[in-house]
Amino acid sequence: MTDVRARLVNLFFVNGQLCLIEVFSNKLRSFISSFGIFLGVASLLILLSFMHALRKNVTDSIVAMGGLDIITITKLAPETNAEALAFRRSPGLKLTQAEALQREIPEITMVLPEASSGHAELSVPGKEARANPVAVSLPYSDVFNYQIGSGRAFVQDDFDQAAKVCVIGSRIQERLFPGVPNPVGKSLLFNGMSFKVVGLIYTEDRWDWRSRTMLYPYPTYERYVGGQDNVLGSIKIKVKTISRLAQTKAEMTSRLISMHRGVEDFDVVLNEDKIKEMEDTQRALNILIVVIAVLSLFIGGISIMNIMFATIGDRVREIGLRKALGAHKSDLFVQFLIESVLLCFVGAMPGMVFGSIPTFLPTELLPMTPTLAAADYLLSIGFTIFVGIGAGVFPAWKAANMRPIEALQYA
Amino acid sequence: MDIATVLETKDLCKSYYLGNDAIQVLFDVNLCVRKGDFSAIMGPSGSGKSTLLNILGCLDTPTSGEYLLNGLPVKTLSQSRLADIRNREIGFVFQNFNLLPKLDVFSNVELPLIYGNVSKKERHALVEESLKSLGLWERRHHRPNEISGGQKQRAAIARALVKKPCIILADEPTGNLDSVTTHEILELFKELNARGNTILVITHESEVAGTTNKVFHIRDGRLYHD
Repeated sequence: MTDVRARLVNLFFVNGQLCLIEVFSNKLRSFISSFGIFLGVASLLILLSFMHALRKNVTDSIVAMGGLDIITITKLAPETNAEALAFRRSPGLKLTQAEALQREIPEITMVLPEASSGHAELSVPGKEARANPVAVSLPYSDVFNYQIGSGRAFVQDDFDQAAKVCVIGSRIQERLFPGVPNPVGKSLLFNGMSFKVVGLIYTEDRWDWRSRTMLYPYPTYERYVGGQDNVLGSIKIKVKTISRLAQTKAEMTSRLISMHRGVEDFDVVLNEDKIKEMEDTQRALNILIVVIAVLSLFIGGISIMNIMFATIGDRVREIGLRKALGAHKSDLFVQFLIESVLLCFVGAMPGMVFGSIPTFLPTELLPMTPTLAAADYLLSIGFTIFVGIGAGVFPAWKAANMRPIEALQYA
Repeated sequence: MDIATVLETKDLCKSYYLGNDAIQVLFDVNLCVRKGDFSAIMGPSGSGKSTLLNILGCLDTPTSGEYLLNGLPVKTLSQSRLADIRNREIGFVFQNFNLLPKLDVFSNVELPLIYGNVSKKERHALVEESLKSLGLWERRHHRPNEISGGQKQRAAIARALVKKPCIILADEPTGNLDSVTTHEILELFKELNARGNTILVITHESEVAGTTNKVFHIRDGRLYHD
């Protein structure tokens, strides 16, 4: 038992120490040889960190979209003159139509009007901010998971009185109220009217599109902003049964067409489709990342294999000497395999540091927040060991199987 | 073969093959080295002395004939068993020292013990004993390029001795040394022999052969006793 232990310790640990001396006695050569692994591991980690950021964006978007049971009716812009003429016949998208749909289609549980006039300027004396003002109904912030960081959410009174109140995102706050930690109670100008800030929308990172959003009560839009037509940009509808989404959509579409005098100047989109689209995109990205990582590590592995063959060619006499001193095939096989893995780590360690850089960059510099978990580093280490073994196995086998006399007499 | 015989060859032959042509380099070599012998095999270059040493050192195998090391018929042993025998029974000393340049003297001497699966504590004790007995303990952290030729050969001898082998096979051990260092190394061999070590030296120099107790001559692959 002691013999087996001593054999294993010598085979792996002591051999490992000798390999460390070998690898680090030629630092520059070792690093250049393992540069492919450096690039492979760095690109793997960079891609993984962005993949995590994308996944988080998708998850956040799914939450922000209110889940699968939401159908969105969006106003379409005409693309041709004929369409423009036809669209004029339609009364446009109105809350009354959605309310009628709710009465007629029992599947519809909630109608959430959403009036957005696109980007608009908000201002306070001396400062301006581009924002996306959206007029919403009372349950809107609950359905779409808006979190209020400070201040309050809308209350029934705001809607009953069509109050000029708003909640704003963090980037609007930064622009309009710099240095003011809590601008609740302050006023801003929108559409020439003064709106009182009653709450702040909480967002985890500043790239969240909700950080540029200003929400205000839908009745306020009807009375002061929308004009007489009160045409909506979009209406979100919550339904009872997810499995009947397609039928509900078809039913809504046909009824809306008749309400719009036969003109289809709107689009009915299921969240399910959007989510599926995002997930498909993400799946494609995942495959791309795996392909890139595997390819770069494969190329790195080839260069390690090449240098290992060259190393063995340079050290034939040493192999002969080791055999003369009593090294078994397994000693030499393990020695060169460890050396190959160590060589990979010479590239992998700085690769890990380099690959982590995006996670330390200020969030202002990137359009998302890359993150890395311990599992990603473990994956990189696993890949490195795998590539090291893969690249070292043939050279090590060649070294282990040299005939001692031929190796010792090699000139 | 009596108990005091360390190695013995009977009608040992070695041929190399170039295509279908066999080139015989050793012819019916009969050699016997007993425990405590300090012998030399002397012959000119190309006489087959290194081929014989390689076979005696279990680095190569004979084409025919018999070779017994401590009574074991070497020809029938597997590669793994031969590696064990090289590790335990034979200490090699080479003309060009064959020290690993990236390892210090201590680690070079330690190598056979690592391959022999000796524990760390025991390894350190044995290396210390070997280096001290050869006066190299102070040089243990030096690399081969930081010591003299004589010290390199002494380090190589320390490595050969560290596993206390039954025989030391030295291939032209003074071939790369000046006359003063040659004398020093030969004195060292004599001292080691006096301590009970069995030594077989291969040389083409009569001065070296002259320091040994028994000389075999090899010419054109045939061994002649003195």
